[in-house]
Amino acid sequence: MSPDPVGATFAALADPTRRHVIGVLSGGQEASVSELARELPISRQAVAKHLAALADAGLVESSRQGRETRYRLTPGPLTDAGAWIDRVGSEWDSRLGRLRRHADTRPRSA
Amino acid sequence: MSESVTREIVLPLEREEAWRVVTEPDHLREWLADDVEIELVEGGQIEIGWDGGGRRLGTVETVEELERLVFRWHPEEPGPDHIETTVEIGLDDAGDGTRVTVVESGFEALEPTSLAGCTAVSTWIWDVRLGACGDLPLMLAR
Repeated sequence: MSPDPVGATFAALADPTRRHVIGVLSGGQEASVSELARELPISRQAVAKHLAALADAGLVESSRQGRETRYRLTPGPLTDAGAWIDRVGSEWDSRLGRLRRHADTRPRSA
Repeated sequence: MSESVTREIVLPLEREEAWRVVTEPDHLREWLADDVEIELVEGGQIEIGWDGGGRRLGTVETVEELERLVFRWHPEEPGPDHIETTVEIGLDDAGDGTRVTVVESGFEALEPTSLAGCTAVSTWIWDVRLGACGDLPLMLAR
């Protein structure tokens, strides 16, 4: 069964290093992988991996500037109440889809 | 902004069977979540988990057999989604089957100006400094 999508968003934040990355980006500044690696006790490769996970969760965005890629925080998925309620709605859509399929397998009582 | 989510579905089941499907753990595990424990009495405890991640805890509010089940639930882990919402599952006759209506409400806590929303985000932030709580209404704005 697919994970609770809202919970999955926060699962991306369960990792302390990823929270640290967000902390560094939270000043509203954009940063490159190299700049973040200087701020954090991890390698550039590890920073890139964590940024990819955060990007998958919609929490950071990247943009190409010249030869480097810069990242910035997009906390919208965490804080946009409307989008939140839409997600709750789609969760119920999938649950009720499963409910319908489950009900279709039930023998109908007389 | 709508502050509740409403969905309905008509099942090809008699009312008694539909009631079992929406209240018994063995059935709930087929559609609601992978792991479901529910004490079907008012004040009863609910524990729900998804294999892919996420757990929710809750309390049964109302049990009107064959008619209505109401419970409150919230995520187990702290986070900005750590608000308690209310889920009402209602049954009524619909032609040859039973209509199941689900209403989840209580999202007011997510309103931009809500102190609860602010507190929820603050709780989650831990060492992550997304800003003082005074700045949060700006972040929370759509």
